[in-house]
Amino acid sequence: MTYIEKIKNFSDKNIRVLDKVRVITKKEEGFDGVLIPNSEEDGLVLKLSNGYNRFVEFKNVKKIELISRGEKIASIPSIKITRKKGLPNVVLIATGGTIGTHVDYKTGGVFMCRTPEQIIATVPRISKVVNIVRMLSPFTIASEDITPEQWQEIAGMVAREVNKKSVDSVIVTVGTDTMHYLSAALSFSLQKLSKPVAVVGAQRSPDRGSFDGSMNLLCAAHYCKSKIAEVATIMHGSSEDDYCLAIRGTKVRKMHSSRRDAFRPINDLPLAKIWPNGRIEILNQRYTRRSDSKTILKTGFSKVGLIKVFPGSNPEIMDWYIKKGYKGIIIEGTGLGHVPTGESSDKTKSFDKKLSWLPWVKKAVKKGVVVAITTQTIYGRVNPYVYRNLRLLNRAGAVFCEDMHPETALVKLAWLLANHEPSQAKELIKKNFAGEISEATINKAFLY
Amino acid sequence: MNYEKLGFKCGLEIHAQLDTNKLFCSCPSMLRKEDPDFRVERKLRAVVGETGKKDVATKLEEVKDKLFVYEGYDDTTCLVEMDSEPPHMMSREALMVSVQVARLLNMNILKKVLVMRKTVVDGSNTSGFQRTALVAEDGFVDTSLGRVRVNMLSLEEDAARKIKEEKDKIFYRIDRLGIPLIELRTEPDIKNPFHAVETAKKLGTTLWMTNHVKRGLGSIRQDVNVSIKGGTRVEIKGVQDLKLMPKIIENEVLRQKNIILISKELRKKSSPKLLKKDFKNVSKIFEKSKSFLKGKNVLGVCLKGFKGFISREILPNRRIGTEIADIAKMVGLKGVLHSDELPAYKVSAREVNGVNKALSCGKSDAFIIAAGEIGKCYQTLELGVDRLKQFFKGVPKDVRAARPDGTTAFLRPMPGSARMYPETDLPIVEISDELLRVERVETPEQKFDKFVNMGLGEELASQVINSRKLKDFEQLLVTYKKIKPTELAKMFFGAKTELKKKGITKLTIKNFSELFGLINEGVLSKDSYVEALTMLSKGRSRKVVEKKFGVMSEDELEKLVKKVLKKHGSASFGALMGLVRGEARGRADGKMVFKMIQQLKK
Repeated sequence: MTYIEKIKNFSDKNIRVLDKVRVITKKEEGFDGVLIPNSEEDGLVLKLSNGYNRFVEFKNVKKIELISRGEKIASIPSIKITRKKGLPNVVLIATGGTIGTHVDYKTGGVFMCRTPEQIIATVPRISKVVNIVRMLSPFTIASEDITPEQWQEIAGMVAREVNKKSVDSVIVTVGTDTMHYLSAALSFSLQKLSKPVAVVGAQRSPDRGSFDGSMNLLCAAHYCKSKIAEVATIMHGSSEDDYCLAIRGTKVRKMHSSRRDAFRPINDLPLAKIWPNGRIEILNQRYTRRSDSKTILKTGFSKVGLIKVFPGSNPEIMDWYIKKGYKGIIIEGTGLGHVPTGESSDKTKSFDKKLSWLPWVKKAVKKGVVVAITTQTIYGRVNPYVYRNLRLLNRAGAVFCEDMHPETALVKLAWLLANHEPSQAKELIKKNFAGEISEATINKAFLY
Repeated sequence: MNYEKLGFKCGLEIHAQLDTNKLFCSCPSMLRKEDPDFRVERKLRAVVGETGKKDVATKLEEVKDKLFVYEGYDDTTCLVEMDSEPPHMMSREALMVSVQVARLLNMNILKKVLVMRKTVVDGSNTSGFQRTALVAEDGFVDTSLGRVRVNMLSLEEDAARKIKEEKDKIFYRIDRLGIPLIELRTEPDIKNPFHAVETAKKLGTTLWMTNHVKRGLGSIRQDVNVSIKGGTRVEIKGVQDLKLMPKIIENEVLRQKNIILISKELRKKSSPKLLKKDFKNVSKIFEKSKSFLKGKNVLGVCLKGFKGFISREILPNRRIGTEIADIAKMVGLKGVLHSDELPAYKVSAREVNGVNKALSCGKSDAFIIAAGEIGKCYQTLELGVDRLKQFFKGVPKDVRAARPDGTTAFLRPMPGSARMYPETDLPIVEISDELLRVERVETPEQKFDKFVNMGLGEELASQVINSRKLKDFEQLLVTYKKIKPTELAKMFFGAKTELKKKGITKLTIKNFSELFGLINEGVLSKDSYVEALTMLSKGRSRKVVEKKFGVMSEDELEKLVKKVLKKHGSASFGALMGLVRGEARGRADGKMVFKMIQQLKK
């Protein structure tokens, strides 16, 4: 039974959410308030005149009287846009997540903004920086529910838009949890990208005064005006509301579950610092500049698994992936890329041979599955030579992913395998496509 | 004043800090004096309210466009206060105290508690809202003038405390942010200003009975709601000093009476329609001025028919003009000048005439001018004219701030009733049966009777109940059962005055525990408590004190009595008592001395 059906049990009037009602309990107490939606099964929620919500258990309710009909749920505020000449034209692709939502203050319900007018209502200042000419929304989902098929869909959309002459750049809004997977997927899919593509989200909800998304969006608009033609995430650079960091899509990672400045560059410097007033400071000189070249869409993602080894981990898990037809496996090794082998010394006799990953890596490679090594330290580069165990792993046919962090390696391998033969993919994973591999590891890039 | 005839209505909102950990994280509820370990600068964005429009109150705050600097500590604040981590589950301890208070006030405790977000835009909450939850409703407290209904108890988080304000920057310390507050709201059942004080005191004492409500300045804060017939409900915030409460309420009654009067006259002379927001830049007039206006942007507006009204007093030393000046200060200007007070402040008559001309002011008109940053001048005049328009309708619906002189200043318009919406980061909190099994606490009356029955006497009993050391005292009572409660109370509450005479002001609960331990064990006579406590407070050990003041053994006392008898054998019994006790210096109990002399004199 739905909430409203349960409510209707107590009244002959056709009571709706947001109607003003009087709930009379079996003890003959009366509560006046506005009926609010509620997800708990056993009761209803009233918004009292003092502003508080009050829970009333269904089992205590005798009847519900209608006092007056309520208003409709407040519509999403929107601001009329006037396009200004001389400002860059930006297309906004909204995919879900905290940013670009509106909280209905009566019900607490969350609604997606559907039009540029609604989005801009949350950041009025953006219309002084860019013209948002269009808003596309292929789907609306929380980022943890996004699949590689949807990366592909977004990539297709971005490619179509950036190849239009009338469009100067694209902003993609997305939930933050898997934002860095998407930014990597876009980075690989959009080859010869000639315009800035900003990927933006929010760590705090838009109902509150401390919403971070409006500054992120504003800085993203400034990024759209910049000369950097790369996919970059634009999120808070510090816990303060001072500036955002533009971080290369393949080098960025969400490094905190809740802070505003959760997005950090891994083994790389941010591309730029962007202040809400429009100031841009380039931090990384090695970036791709805007050009007139046509962006080529090369996308698609194959099934690739991601496994983390740990002391005592059972390598048989690899067999599951092999049997399920995965074309690639990324291993998050320890330190420089180690997996347990039991062969580090003659004295490791106590090591249970079944725990060695080497036979399973060999088996996978033999079956044509690409096995690629990254590190669970997240920062730093893997190395196939320093220790004997690494060499054994290397000899077993695993390929080492340089300074790519595990999720970028995952997206890259999935992308390579969708577009190349496994033998080629195995070679190409070590080749740089979108700034994902830096030849030199810069000192300042650690814990930036 | 006949308050009944005036249609006086008054209710209280009381906020009391709990001394549990914070409401939505496990940080201690501790205010710090040291310099903060870190500072974080943030901005707040004005959010569109429930009606789809920005709240009036929000709008006014927004014009400030301030930067907020939050100061915190590495060891006693965490990411929750910083709005960088979602809230943790609501503190069980705070809920338990709420249940205890609700019972003392005969309230209905709700089964399920829904946490709400209340929009706050002054920056005192890092999130931009304050979390609050209704826990109990429909209670009452009995007073000398009848029952005052307490219609709600809510549990909410305290705001950050303001440290200082600089140009466009407000500094807040987040040590206070998140401390649990119990808010009690009464119905307007209060009959007069002194009744308000009685009710506030009664509620305060009731809260203290839980032993988990903080004491001391700022830990309980009162807001007062006042209205009279023909006036309107005005909320006065931050009445900290109960002694000032009657004066503040009397002043508010007076203010409303005055405004009702002024409003009537105003309607004869002008109308809101005549108040045009026709602002003119009059800077030129002051180019060569000797006043502080020289070289500044000066913006003016003519107020049709307002001559004489701006300087009308609504309270001693507070005029209509002062209310506009309050707005100017909020916007960030020093104040405003108006025609009723000019020429003055080195503004010449010629300059005044100039302004009159420039603004086309007639004989019965007035003007206000604002000087400084042009944007701020606009905002001040804009909001100022809006405010003046309100006076036509009568008493504006204000939230006002109590001032130390017993007057109040305009703070912001009364917010719309519903600036609250559900906190989506937290599930519904269940008040479980287990939680309801929390120990019941005694009402102040019960406690009073208990102490009187112990023999404390009514005066001492009420002193104990109102003392911030009540909790310590009750603990001592349980620990040192061999000491009579009256004596324990006299020593515990009398020590401060006694030791002050000796120049000692610092006494710790440990000093008292040691003292009462010695007396309880019979090694120390209560007669020498002042001397013993003096030594203990100076850091001497229990042993040293025992040696010096410990009760004499029977042998020792016998020796002393014999010595005195030998010397003064012929003296009267009373004199002998005095001599022995003098020599014993408090180390001998009176009764024992009496017995010994009686025995040996034979």
